[in-house]
Amino acid sequence: MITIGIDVGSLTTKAVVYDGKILGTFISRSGHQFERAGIDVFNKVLNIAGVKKEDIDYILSTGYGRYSLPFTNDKVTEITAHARGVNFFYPNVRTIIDIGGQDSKAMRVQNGQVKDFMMNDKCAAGTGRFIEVMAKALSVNSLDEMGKLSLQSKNPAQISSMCTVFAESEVISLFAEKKYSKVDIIAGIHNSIAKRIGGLVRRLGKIEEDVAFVGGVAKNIGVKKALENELKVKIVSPEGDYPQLTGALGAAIIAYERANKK
Amino acid sequence: MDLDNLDFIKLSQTIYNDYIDNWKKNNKKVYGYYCSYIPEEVLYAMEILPFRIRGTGCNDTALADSILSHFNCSFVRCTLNLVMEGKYDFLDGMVFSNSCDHVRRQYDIWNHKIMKGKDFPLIFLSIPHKITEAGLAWLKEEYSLLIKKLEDDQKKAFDEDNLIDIINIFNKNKQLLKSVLKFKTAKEPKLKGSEFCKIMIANSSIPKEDSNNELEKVIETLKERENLKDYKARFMLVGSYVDNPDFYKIFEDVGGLIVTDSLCYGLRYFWNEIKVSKEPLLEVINSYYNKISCPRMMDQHQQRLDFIKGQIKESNIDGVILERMEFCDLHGVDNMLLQHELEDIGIPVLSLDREYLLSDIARFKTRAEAFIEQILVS
Repeated sequence: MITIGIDVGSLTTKAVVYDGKILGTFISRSGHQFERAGIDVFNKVLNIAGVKKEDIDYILSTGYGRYSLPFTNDKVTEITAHARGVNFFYPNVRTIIDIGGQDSKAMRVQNGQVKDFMMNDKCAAGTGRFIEVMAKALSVNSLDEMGKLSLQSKNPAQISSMCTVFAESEVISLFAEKKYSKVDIIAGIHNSIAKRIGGLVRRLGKIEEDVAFVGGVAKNIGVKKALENELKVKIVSPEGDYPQLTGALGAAIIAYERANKK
Repeated sequence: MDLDNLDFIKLSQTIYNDYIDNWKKNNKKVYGYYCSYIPEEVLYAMEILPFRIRGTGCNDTALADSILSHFNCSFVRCTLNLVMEGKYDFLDGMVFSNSCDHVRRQYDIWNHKIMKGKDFPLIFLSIPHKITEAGLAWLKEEYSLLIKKLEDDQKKAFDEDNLIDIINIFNKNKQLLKSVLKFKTAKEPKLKGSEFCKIMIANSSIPKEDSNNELEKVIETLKERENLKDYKARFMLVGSYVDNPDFYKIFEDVGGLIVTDSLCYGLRYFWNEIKVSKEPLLEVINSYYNKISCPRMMDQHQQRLDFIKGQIKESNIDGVILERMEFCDLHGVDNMLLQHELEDIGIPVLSLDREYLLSDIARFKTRAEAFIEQILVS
């Protein structure tokens, strides 16, 4: 059985080909046409995996644009999908933090099944979009670079505004005051995100370990460190691009189970 | 004929309607009110039609935002906007209360801004936040003041004997609403939450005698209906004021049925009938004071929790949705307590913050869908 999971997120679309193991992955920008992004990613990941379209037994979509793809067998929410994807790498994980492009989630899980979850509400603060806006304000090219730069900070700035728009003004003011260096401001931004996400995680109750961090923002080492400091726990994240791919992977795994039951 | 074709249900789509038109043509007055703690029976006994202020038809809050800030409740901003647009021009008076701060301050805004210099009765009923003997004495005095102001405006005396007849009409209304509710809470339901919301809105928009006749037609229509199929989970909705059927549809569209609630525009409105005795006014006061409370009432959290637990059991609930209007501090605290208390007894809970004007529906649907997936797996 060969299956594909496609995660159509607000910023990026991800796909994973799976047959009990990962055969291929692909990530692309979603743009404003989710259907086109989904078809594009689908075709490219088939090439990468060396699999023909007719060999695919089940396609499962997930993510914000999961309803946009007409060629899938079914859809599942990214919350359920991430829980299964993380379980593939870390079976003992009980808490998952997922920070994506436009929202963030905290989940309590057991054996890859969601027991409870919280999502941030109508606000870009504590999301990938927030870091993108800040990176632009600070002329930093990528999330990865933001992460690496923040590790050089010895005196993180205090960013008190949680609103993305106000925080951007606050960052520019801090820069103008010359009180903090660029790396201190970036570290301050990461700390402010960690505080926000910490509140979300604590709303689930006592923090249960192991804790995993996924979503595009998990590729930012600075946010991961800030979260570890905030929550006082060690956090695991898969290597490379996999933090961004756990949703698509989870969808592919669920698809694999469904295909085998057919 | 199905429910949506009934003229009664269509009343939920507008604020003004023919029933109000006829009422006013007979030189009778209509008073607006916000909170379910305002005793409709007392107004009705004075030949005043009580009309619950709602946000139906609100698309933006630009006018209201010239008076209120973005940190005020969006429901209140919406209703004020409608008032400023003239949608409530048919009102002849208002009865306010200290329900929550956002609603309470509407009295000041109407007094100093909206109705400044106009001959428009604005009455404030101050309701105690605790149930005590002293509180009851206070409330009796407040009712006396309310009645005095209504007498001044109507230029006639309050007739307590007449109140008994009115209580009977309103009690019948509550009994009929409970009969309608059974079509929703049954093991094999025939009625959706969004439809029940429309019924509740229509019921609050016309004279109760008319509404009672219409509710009987609703019941007959529902008897003929087939059971609902293809739903995946049964929910209870708890939290801030909801008068928008589309909010229920968020859950219905992904396979969830809201079969019961603890809402002031839902079950809590009709749950307690008023005892009929030789002291009808005292019975009205006691009934409103001791009803299934909203979080405005201190020391009543356990009563609210017990009511919710009772509904969960009676209506075979799979999960509870706790919703809170942004900046609603009352439900903010109560919902947090409820979340932990319900999860401790194994009830899945979904917590949502929302604005009155629905936007970004996709994100709500994701949560509702994930909640159903969570319930189905467990």
